[in-house]
Amino acid sequence: MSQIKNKSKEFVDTNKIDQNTAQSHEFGYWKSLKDISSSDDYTNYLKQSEHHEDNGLSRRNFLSLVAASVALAGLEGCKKPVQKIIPYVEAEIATIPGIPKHYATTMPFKNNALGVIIENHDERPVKVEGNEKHPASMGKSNSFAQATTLDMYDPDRSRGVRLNGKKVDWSEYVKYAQSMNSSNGNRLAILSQESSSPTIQFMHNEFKKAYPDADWVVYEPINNENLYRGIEKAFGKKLQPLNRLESAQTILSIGSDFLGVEDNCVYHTRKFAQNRDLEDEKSTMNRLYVVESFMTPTGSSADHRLNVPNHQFASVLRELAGELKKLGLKIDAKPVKSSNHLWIKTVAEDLIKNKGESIIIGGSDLPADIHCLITGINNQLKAPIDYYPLDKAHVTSMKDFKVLCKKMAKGAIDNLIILGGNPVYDAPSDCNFEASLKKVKSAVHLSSFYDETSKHCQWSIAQAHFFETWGDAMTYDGYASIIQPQIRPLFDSKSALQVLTPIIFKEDRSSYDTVKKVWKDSIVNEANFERKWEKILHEGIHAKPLLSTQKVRIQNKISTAVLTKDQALDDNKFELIFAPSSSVYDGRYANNGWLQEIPKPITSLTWDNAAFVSMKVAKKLNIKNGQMIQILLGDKSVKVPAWIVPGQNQKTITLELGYGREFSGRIGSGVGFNMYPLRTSSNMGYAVNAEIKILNETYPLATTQEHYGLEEDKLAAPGFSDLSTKEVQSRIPDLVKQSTMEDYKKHPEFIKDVVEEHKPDKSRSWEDHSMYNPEPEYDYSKGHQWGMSIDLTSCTSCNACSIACQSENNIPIVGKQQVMNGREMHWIRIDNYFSGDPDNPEVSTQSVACVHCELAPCEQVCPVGATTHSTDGVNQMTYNRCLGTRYCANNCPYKVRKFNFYNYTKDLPEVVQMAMNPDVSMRFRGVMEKCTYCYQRVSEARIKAENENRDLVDGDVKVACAQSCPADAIKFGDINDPNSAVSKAKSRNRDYALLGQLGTSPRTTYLAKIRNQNPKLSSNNHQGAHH
Amino acid sequence: MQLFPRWTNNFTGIFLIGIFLLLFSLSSFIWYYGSPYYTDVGYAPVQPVPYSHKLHAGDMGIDCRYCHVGVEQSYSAVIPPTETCMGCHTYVKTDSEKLKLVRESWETGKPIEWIKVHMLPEYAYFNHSVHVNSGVACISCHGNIAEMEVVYQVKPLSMDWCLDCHRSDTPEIRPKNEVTNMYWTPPADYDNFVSSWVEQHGDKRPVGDCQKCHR
Repeated sequence: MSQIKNKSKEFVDTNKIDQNTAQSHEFGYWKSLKDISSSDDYTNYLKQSEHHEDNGLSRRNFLSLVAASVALAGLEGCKKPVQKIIPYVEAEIATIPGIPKHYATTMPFKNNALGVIIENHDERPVKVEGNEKHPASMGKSNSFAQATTLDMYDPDRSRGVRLNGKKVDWSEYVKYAQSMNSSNGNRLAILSQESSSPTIQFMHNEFKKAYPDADWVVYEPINNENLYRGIEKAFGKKLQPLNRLESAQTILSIGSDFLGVEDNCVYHTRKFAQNRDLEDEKSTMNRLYVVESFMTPTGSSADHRLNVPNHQFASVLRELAGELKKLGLKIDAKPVKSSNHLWIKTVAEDLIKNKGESIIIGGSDLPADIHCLITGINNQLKAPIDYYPLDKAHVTSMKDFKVLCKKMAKGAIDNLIILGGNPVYDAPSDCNFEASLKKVKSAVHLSSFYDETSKHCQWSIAQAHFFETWGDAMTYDGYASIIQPQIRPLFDSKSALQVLTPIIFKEDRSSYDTVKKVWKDSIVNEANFERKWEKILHEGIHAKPLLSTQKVRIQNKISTAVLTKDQALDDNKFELIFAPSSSVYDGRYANNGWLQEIPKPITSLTWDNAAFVSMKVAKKLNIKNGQMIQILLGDKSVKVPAWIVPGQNQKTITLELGYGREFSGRIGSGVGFNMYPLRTSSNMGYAVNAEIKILNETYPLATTQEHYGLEEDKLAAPGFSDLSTKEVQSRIPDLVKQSTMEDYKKHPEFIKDVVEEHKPDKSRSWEDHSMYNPEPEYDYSKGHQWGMSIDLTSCTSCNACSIACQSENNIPIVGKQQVMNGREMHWIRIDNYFSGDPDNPEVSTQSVACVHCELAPCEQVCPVGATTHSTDGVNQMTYNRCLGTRYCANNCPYKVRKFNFYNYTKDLPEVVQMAMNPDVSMRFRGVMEKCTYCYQRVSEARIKAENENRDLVDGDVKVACAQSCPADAIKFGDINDPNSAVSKAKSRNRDYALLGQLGTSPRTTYLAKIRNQNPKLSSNNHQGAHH
Repeated sequence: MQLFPRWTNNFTGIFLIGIFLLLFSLSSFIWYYGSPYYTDVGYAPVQPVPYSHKLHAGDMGIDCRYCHVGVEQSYSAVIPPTETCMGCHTYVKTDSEKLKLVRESWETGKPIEWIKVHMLPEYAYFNHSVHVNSGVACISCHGNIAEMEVVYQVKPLSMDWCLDCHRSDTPEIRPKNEVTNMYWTPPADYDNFVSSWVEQHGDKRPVGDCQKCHR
């Protein structure tokens, strides 16, 4: 299908881009990215005309030329430049320029797969959406998937093949690979990343056949090995659990951020949110208990959160097991009573009450013995977990990795093939990977960037992005799908399969042939393979799963005796947690500007990592935000700025991995601080007894937490400066309205009461209070009227919406300094509000974009009519009219308007321009912008419907944020259609308008947050942030 | 003491008049070139291949959509690929001097670089398909292409001009199957047609819907 892409001549010849010679006019139909005919054309023209003066330029000729060029340059200013249209030479089948094409493919992520649909404009992949037919995606995606477009068009990516730093031809590598032979196979090893690809599995088998003595080692810095080992201890074999959260009513997470960065988060969030979708007060919802040591998106979504340091999780579990035993589970445990007894007892009762529908999820970095006990308890609880075989997936084995490192250090490895990953940067420090790698005679590194590891390898091969290559991947439950290329490799890059074939089969084979052969021989196994293959490519999923659920049986008695003794933490020492970053993960997304600039959940930090410390520790040690501290663990130490985070355990310091990369990337090099040096193979998840030293330096950190604040804004306003912080805090509940399930049942109409309470004069109606003419400009009862509803109960603040918006609407990144100046451009910001005890607060998150007021304050003050209202109720921003007075932003009570202080896209490399959406203008310096309700999508759907001579139906218009939201918290549609999803959401009694008392009649409204608190615990945990 | 000769007395006057003339010409310049009156009407660039619409669309009566295949589906009407030309010219006029570039393009795979005639600003998102499917004829915006040896811009293509039609009580529409007809004459019951069209399609007057075109 997309193989034929390379015939495309009309828009982008990718080779030209590669050589950096592409002229702008090659991009026939480009909109806005760059003036099609730039002044370069004129310079070229002048150059060409100069060439005619071959016989040297006389002074007279020169002067006349100068005069002519000055005159021409003057004329150039008032004449429209010549634009060119460059059509195809051969007609593309089923291609009409201007109509985007959508292809299904799969985003492989470790040993999981996320089915995605890629929108291609003029043969350029520009937008990622989830694939509704894919079981791990269900049409949804996460921030990594949304931002991957930018990874693909990264100009800093490695190019071609390099041998000892010099560019060589691919055929040189093929020759080298063919020279390997099985007689010295024991001196050959492959180090790969985690994968669930059936084709990689096939290659592995073939590799073993060809080189029986060689090693194939899998290493990933953030892995689930402990979980698998725990399950092995419990059930006798390593299995992949799949938590069926849709059937779980009571969920206990012990240190697991399953709604955040942990694997399969899209699936988890989608299924978790299904049971949080409250129709009315009679609906039921699941209840989430979280035990954790630092605030994660999962912890902030919790109904009850217990703040315990990681090294004490074992004792929490021991106590829980004791309680569960009392309640009738067959567990060998002793009753224990700690200070958290009430909490644990209540959780135990809840788990038993919903037996069969309750589940415990352990953090993937916890020790295997904890996972073993959790697995046992889950088994007793009949938890809705399916177990699938793991032997077809490639997962990390630290033991193998350490053995490999030792072999390498001894000089026992001659040829090492590193397939992706960056072990020099992210391997545990006790493995001494860098030193060992230097002993390898000839190492090959397949990687996206010429990075820390590539520097030490003889061969460096550019790794193809999954948009550029064929491959496959499989979900946990065995649904396999194809990775289908969207574009020809931009930078002469290769896939892991291409690197392996010359080693195994002694020939250069395309990934397409390899994948297709595997699917033909061992996956599809049907007569009409070609038709099946086409169908699988089209649907993006093979409907028959390759794995089936495994029957499991507990091997030994479930006993707390499996737990090793608690690690002791000395006084004045700390526990360190090594957490994957929600932005750069393990460091792989370090050069992605969208991910670097997105404010992280809870901390709202951008462009850096920090050591998270608790409020109490900060007070005690006199640490301020941004204060540099030195963290010492054993003989290793790192320096990192501190950041005070609510909900942080006072014994715990959380360190985010993935920063401090040393490679030549214009975005990611030198950003943040590298925490890997502290991490050893024995403490991959957390370590105890770290010391900290306060340094006499500070480091500027860019956070957006206090930017565009609705409540701060009031404080700063003249006349309000005497308002106390308390007064301001008391207003937060008006912004994010919330209640508990218990209270909600008692007062289902609690929202209305709150709104009425605000009315200054109870005898007058709200319309009379409005400061504007209450008559809207148009009759909004007619036609399609767009509106949005955001459910605060299910939102987990995962940032998928914000990056989806950035990708769809060409929102620029501005850099750390500009973020510090409060000039970030994200159209969707996620506000965090904390309430209660700073050490264990309740978190309320609220994503805010333009709410499209029917009576919009911004429109009243625009002197040039650049922001106006449309007949379908959208607050429009006409960029070409805006002259940048910023009155609108000042008058916006929601603070959602973003101003282009600079021409942020001026230096956008040509390759990155290819990632831009041609349906949306690029904005220039001095122009205001904000959420448009993805009006380009509204227009596209409207035109499509008009062309088909039908009316728009619900679901025709999908806005980028709603489409990506894994919690499905955002609904968008026609509010005049009573049966649309958005109308139904808005008719719920939890619906409220943000700052509704201002009389702006916003089109985006919120559904109040309901916490399903356990009445037995609510008194000591919940601090009246609701009415 | 006279430092300057007498004739320099006029300098002040000349200077003031000069300033006035400069300001006047500057403002008239901006007023004219910045206004909708300044358009590219009549712009008729020389194309790399001397393709005659008069011959193909006029004399031979080839339908517009034979080449401009996107016009009913895409925002772009689409300039045809070389393959479309070669579809006929493999057999017809195979050695014509005028077709040299077309044959070259077909042999080398190098596209023909046509010069764009009808240019809209980058911030205006015009969509051909929705207009054509609603019954707006090609001739309404492009003029009688069938009689043009060299295609040139007939209408101003300014926002003002767009709105002339969009704000009009009698939009310039016709039955869909007649959109490419350059010689269509409104039937006697045209008024009825227009009123039933408005009934069916609704009011297409944009009022304040800036975002429909500017996004």
